[in-house]
Amino acid sequence: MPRAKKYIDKDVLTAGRERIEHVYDLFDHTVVMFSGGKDSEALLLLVKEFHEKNGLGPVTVAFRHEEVINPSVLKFVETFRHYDWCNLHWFCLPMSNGKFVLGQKEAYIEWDPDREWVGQQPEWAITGEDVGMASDGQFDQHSVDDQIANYLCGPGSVAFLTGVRASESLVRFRSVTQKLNENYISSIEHNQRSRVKLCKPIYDWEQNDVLQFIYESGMPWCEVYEAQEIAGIGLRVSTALHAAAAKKFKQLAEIEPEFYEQILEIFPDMADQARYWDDFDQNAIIAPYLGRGFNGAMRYVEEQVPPEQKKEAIKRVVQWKARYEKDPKNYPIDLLLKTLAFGKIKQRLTGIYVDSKGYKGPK
Amino acid sequence: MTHAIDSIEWVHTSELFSNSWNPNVVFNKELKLLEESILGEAGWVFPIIINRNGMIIDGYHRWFLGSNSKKIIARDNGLVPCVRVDIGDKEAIMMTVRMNRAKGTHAALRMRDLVQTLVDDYGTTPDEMIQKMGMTEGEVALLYDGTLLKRKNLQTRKYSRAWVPVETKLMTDEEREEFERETDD
Repeated sequence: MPRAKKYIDKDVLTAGRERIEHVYDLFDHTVVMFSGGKDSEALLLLVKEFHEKNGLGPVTVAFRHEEVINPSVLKFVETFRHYDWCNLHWFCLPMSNGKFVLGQKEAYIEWDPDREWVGQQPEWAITGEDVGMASDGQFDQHSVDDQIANYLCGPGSVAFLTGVRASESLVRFRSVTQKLNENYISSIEHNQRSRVKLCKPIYDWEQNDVLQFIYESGMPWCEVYEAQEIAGIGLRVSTALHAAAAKKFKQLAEIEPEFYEQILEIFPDMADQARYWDDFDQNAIIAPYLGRGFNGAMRYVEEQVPPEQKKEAIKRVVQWKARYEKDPKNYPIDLLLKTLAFGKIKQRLTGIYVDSKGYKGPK
Repeated sequence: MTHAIDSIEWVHTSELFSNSWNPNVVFNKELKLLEESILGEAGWVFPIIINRNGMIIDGYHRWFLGSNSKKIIARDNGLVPCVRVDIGDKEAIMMTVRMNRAKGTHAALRMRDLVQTLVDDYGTTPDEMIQKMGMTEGEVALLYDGTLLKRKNLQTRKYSRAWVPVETKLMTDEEREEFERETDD
């Protein structure tokens, strides 16, 4: 059944505080997943407030250093190591990820021992070896949370608190609207049996709510946002090779030129992305397959997806079809095609307003 | 009218100095290409632009190669072609920005430092920067103020309404259609 927003009679700050309290009631251990970005910073400050109010001592915080992270973000995260209210753990774990070059997603391993790295691991890094990984091992997105939880927490249930917000993308909107009860607490995808659950207490915050809370807390925010604003690109701190960031890769030269050059030395094909993405005719690539339903999507996979990625792409189509049958509005077929081709997610959130007086309709 | 380009002089690299605020960036690969170009058949094709004191306005990387490339030094005895513009340091900074904005890659945070230097050290007004460096009023304010948080007028804002997910069957088909028309992007 399609999902919509039902607005309630409280503000997001009050609701966020209540959700954090609920998470602390439910779980044996809590860890804030901090990226250095504004959303996870606001969440961390909200949890700090809860700890102070309840005399809980320092907040347990995990930062996953994904290797290709802007130096200004690392510098900002590093400052949190020195706050006595923050018990920051800095993980540098070999993990599979994907880099986006001209419409193709190619696999690479963060902190791959078999190549030179973009930057160095700090001396305080918790490495794969520290968490018990074999020297030639690697984690994936679904297993890494278990390893971090096992390293940080004793027996019992674990809540990983994240700063995910629904208004960032349709995917994130879906992630907090699948369930109707405790909608902000979910299992890890493809790892349902994990003792770790992902909790998103600020899921309904808008960007200005986040900025407002940081501002009112009197804390700084990451300098990279100033540079991104000046350069006229969206505010984000994720790895520069990720699909969403890679589309703005060229502008990285404006923001942190030395870092940009370091990336090109290790991943020279990113230069193609920087030079040609703006002129890359995205629509021409998918045009022959649009408007042809799932057959068009399957034909795209057959003709355009590299052989090593076909299996994963077919799985994606099958999953999408199952979801489309239940919720065609939020899983349109053309969006699947764009997702397969460019990782592109069009932001199109459904929402209604229902208040305590029974008014129902657009807000 | 006489143009600065009318007289090109060969100046020793030791008489020139770089400015610390140049927001333009050239990467190593491009630097190597530039060296090959200068060492090629045509030799120097662009002069370095300097002010009356020998401060480099445009051509930092050509000066860098003229000072550090063994092959170029051996060929040209440490001399580089220059055009001298009779202006002071403040005007030189603004001229650098003007020229770089038209052709180069800017490092945003260096640009912020530069604007702060112009205002704090040289007393440059926003109007001057808008006029002489092709900046917008908002850009000057953002670069000088340096904090986006302050500029969002967050003091007077109220937090958004919280929401929970519901099934859309709460809406009639008509309401839903109307809503989608209003929100469709």
